[in-house]
Amino acid sequence: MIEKKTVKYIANLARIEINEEEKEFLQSQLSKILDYIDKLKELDIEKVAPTRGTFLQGNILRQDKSKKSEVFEDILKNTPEILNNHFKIPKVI
Amino acid sequence: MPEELETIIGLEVHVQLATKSKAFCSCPTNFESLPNTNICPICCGYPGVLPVFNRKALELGLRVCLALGCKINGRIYFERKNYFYPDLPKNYQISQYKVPLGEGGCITLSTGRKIGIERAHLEEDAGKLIHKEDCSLVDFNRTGIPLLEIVSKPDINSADEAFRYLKLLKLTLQYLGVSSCDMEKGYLRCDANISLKEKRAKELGTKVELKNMNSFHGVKDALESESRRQRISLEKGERILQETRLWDETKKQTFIMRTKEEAHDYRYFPEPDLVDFVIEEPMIEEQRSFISELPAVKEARFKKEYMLRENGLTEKEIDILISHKWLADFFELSVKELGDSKNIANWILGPFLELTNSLDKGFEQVKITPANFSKIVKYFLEGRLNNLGAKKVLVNVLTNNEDIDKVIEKEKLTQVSKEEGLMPFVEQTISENPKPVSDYLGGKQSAIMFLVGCVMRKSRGKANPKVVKEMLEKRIKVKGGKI
Repeated sequence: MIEKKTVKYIANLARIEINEEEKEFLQSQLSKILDYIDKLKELDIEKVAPTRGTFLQGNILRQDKSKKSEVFEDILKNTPEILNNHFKIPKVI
Repeated sequence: MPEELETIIGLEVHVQLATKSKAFCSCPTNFESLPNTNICPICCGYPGVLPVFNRKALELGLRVCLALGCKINGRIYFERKNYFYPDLPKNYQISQYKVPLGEGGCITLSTGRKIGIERAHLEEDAGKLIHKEDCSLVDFNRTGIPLLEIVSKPDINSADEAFRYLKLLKLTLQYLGVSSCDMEKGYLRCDANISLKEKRAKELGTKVELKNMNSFHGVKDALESESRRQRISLEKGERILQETRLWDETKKQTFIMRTKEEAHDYRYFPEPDLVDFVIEEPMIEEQRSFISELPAVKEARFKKEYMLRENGLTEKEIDILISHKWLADFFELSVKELGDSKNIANWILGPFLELTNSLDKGFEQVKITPANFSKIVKYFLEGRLNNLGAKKVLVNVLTNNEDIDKVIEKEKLTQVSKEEGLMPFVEQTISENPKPVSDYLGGKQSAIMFLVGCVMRKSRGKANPKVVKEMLEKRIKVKGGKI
């Protein structure tokens, strides 16, 4: 079981506010997820090198060519409030 | 009494790499674009998108690492740096953590001091926040533009040395052609870590991170101010707290930034959307071929070749000449044509820079070849053009490289040195200016220059001032100023 203060800490890093009830709920849910993932610990990987990806056939790079996206206007429209072509948000400083 | 304190500084420089498109998507990187018009589902972190890395960004980053003498890691990968802030739409920044592109290397200042490079890694930029009275505004145009972060070792011992390091690093980056380094546009940014320790102590003191400096002078001022603050605290027997402080340019002071209680927890992990990159020898060799003589080496060579000799250039003159690779090249090519470094330097640092400074795009607009430029200087030295005439020719051909002889012909700029042609002007001038003439006869040497100026005006600048002066002197002495 992970500690309650860890749940609070993670919530703070993710910038979400949770109440006491949610904290308890998330504590048990996150613990279950971690227990499940912990199954991987049963494997013996002593002799296996760390792998980040399975495709290693040469570098995957693109040419430096610029092209405006067709949907940039739509992205801005997804915000509740626009000011001078900016995303308007609550003051953060 | 405590031992003498020593300042220890390390700098983190972020430089925007000069690519046309962003690091992981094709959005343009144009600074002038309207806010939020260079954005797409990839740089805005929409679900299901796939980043693909920009070859140019890798190449430019590699070029810098090679120039700084870094060891290149043969196989690199990106990691996600997780944090939640409105300037970061994905809530993670694609960066490098465990294995940077380059490690080690150094920059050698003209003082002989070597400043080590800890690492240089690739990452993407975050968006720009503008803070208003009652809200904040977000522009994602900058989000995803490729950056190279260059971290120095804590080898810097004063604010002045930090300033020198930054100036040389910037010039090096400009010589490499990897960035314009325009600080006003935020293409180059610098954060600093500073701590104080007793000279003989082995361990470093508690460091403070400084942010929000908008110019190299700002960095210097902030470091001086912070060093003073820490010194006063330590001398009072207080402890320095590890914190991030912001530089206030108007108050000339650092202020503590509102920070979280806990240390940052970025939870780095390998970026699963991108596979490893192998830095192969051909790519390294190609980038190495773009590295020409770097500013520190050029400065030393210029001093050896052009300063330490009779009628040599001054240190200040050399500083200006090497401050731009284009200018240094133009100077040397012109010297090769004429074989007279002092006069070429005088004409470049004087009239030439005066004219190019007034051009919108500076040297980009200059079309005159070094061969033609040195020809103007040659004509001046031979007396075929006077100072004014030579400048007029330069104005005419600077941005079009027209044939110089034709311009001289067209503008009738050939200097008049023949005495017959000038005699009427000399006679006129003497009769019109009895006072300066008698002043000169009375021993006031400078009065002659006034008279030379009059003749020059009458000849519309075409007269050879040296010849005019001789003629005036002769004429006044022979006739004792009488007409």
